[in-house]
Amino acid sequence: MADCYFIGIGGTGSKCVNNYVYSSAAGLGPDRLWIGMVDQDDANGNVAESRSNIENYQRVRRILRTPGLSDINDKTDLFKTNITTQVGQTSWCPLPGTAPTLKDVFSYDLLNKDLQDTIDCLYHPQEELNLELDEGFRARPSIGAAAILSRVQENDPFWVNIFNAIDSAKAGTEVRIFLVSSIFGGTGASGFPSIARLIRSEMDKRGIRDGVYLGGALMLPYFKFPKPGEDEIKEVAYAESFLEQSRGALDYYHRLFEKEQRKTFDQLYLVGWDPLIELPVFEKGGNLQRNPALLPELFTSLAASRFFMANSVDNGIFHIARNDANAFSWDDFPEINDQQKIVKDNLSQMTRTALAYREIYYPYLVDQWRKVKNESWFRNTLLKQGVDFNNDETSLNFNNLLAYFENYLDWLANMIHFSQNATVQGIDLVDVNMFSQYENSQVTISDKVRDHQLKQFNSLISGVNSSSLAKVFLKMNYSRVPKNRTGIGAFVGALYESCKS
Amino acid sequence: MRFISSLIIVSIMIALIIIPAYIVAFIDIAFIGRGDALRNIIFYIIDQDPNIPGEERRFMAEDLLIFGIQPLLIYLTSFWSIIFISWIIVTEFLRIDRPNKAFKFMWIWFLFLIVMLVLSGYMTYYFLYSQKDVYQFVGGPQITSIIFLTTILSLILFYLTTLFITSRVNRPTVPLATILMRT
Repeated sequence: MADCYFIGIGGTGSKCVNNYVYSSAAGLGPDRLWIGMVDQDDANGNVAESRSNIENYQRVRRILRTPGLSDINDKTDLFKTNITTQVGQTSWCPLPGTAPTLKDVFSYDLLNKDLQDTIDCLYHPQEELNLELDEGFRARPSIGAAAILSRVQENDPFWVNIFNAIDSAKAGTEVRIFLVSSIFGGTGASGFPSIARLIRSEMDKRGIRDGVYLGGALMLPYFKFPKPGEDEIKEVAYAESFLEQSRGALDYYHRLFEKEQRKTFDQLYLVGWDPLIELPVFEKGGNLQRNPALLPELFTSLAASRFFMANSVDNGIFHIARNDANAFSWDDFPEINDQQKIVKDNLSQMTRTALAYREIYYPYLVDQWRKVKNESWFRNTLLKQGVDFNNDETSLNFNNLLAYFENYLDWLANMIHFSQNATVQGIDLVDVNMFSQYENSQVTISDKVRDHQLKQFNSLISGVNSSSLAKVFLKMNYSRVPKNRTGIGAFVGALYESCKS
Repeated sequence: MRFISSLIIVSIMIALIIIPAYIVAFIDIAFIGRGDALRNIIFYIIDQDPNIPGEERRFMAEDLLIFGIQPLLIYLTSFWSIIFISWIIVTEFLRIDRPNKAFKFMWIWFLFLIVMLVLSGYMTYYFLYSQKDVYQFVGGPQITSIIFLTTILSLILFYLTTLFITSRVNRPTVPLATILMRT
């Protein structure tokens, strides 16, 4: 298995990172994965959410996969991927600091007159050179490209990981790097080709021709949001310009790929959505910019998994289309490396596990465990596996698991609710109404799913008549814990297997 | 598979009571009582009224065997089988879907137990004492002891059998089962 690196660039890139972490939790990722984000808007809500998701993932994975203490075993897909990041720097900000401007990047005031004039020709002196960039490059790839290329340094801890990985290819290790961003907007559109070419040039510098593969997913316009106010329109991305920008960017890529001797990308995936998904709210940046997960982003995860998990990397530019423009179902997902139903199977199983854990089992793993301590499932999957319920850390671990599963359900519900409006017959994947509500352009997870709704648990996943909660409980009671499962991992493993469709 | 093994357990448990009872009632075994099945009935079960002649007592014992004990054993076997199969079916239909739910249905176990004890006791009373073919052949103290014994055996049979045939999901419906059964 190759060493895998996933880099999300810009706001959309960070959303795709978030998406890939959840996909990895569902077992769709590779065995080992390094994740990083590049975003000028470091305080961006989506970046913060992805960062938090990665930390939570790592915490839960430690709970489930610490051999000797708690182990779900290596045959189980759940939280299979060992996700690592640059410690303390999950995301890299090209221009850190308070309100940096392009003038600061170029040390404009220190340049001689000729260079200042040149820069004035390239960038608008008032609008662009003095634009405060603490909330991103505001849909100006030309600014982003300059800023990113000027700040990527070999000794930056974030990039050291990538460059060391490239070096390791000399020793025969296969390295696969996957970049994700949007083709529109600022940071992503500028960072995607810049970083890709930078990696290629680093390979050339080191004389590496083989062993390092570069893949990428570019998000074409797939959403739109209300036009910003007149006072903001000059300095922010707005949806109407997305198509125009995308056309320009695609033309740029076309010219780039046409003249290059060696392909920058071994695999490139282009993902779009028609018609555009309408987002109800708009924030120009900062911690308030927390756009909901959308279905097209999931395709970047599947593309990444295909790229990472294939035995060999075949060259190409890939596209996919829905079976029916007015509907979306499980059949519209691609297979991953000849595993036809892996997306449906894994996401279904994860969703059922998350909901069953939250609604049925969690209360009996914390406060009410004494009431059920003699029940078979509890004795076999927990007590006999050495889980100590008198230890405060145990309930903390169960709380962490709950938090992760709730976040997962929230992510899924957001993705489906918000993506519905662009598909006439709706998104027919998971009955998210069972555990969430969409009101006033907001998705909320129900505090408690009602009993009559839980009776429909077997039809939670569209197109599958899976086992009911009673059947899941029966399986839990008769589950055999393999010898290499211990601790909380034994319980979660049993639940995960019982929730198989 | 679970159902098949439950049915096998039911058969074994019922056989453990019915077969010895049949053997004791119909087969001469030297070390049991008088060493003769008929004499055992005459001596231990038939009313000890001294006014009943010996020949008459023999006829009463033969009638009791044919019209009382034999149908009683058949009816008890059938009844107990029906009770246990019903128990298996009813508990399956409880559809326990979460922890701490099954014990709320313990009343159903008690209901089955009461039906089991009452009907087993009544069948014993009817077949051995009150039906016209053998009316009052058995003495009053004897029938009381036999009904008591049948009830106790039914209680033990019901508890042990439900302990083994109840699925792990429904085990909390059987008193103390979750403590006694460690699987």
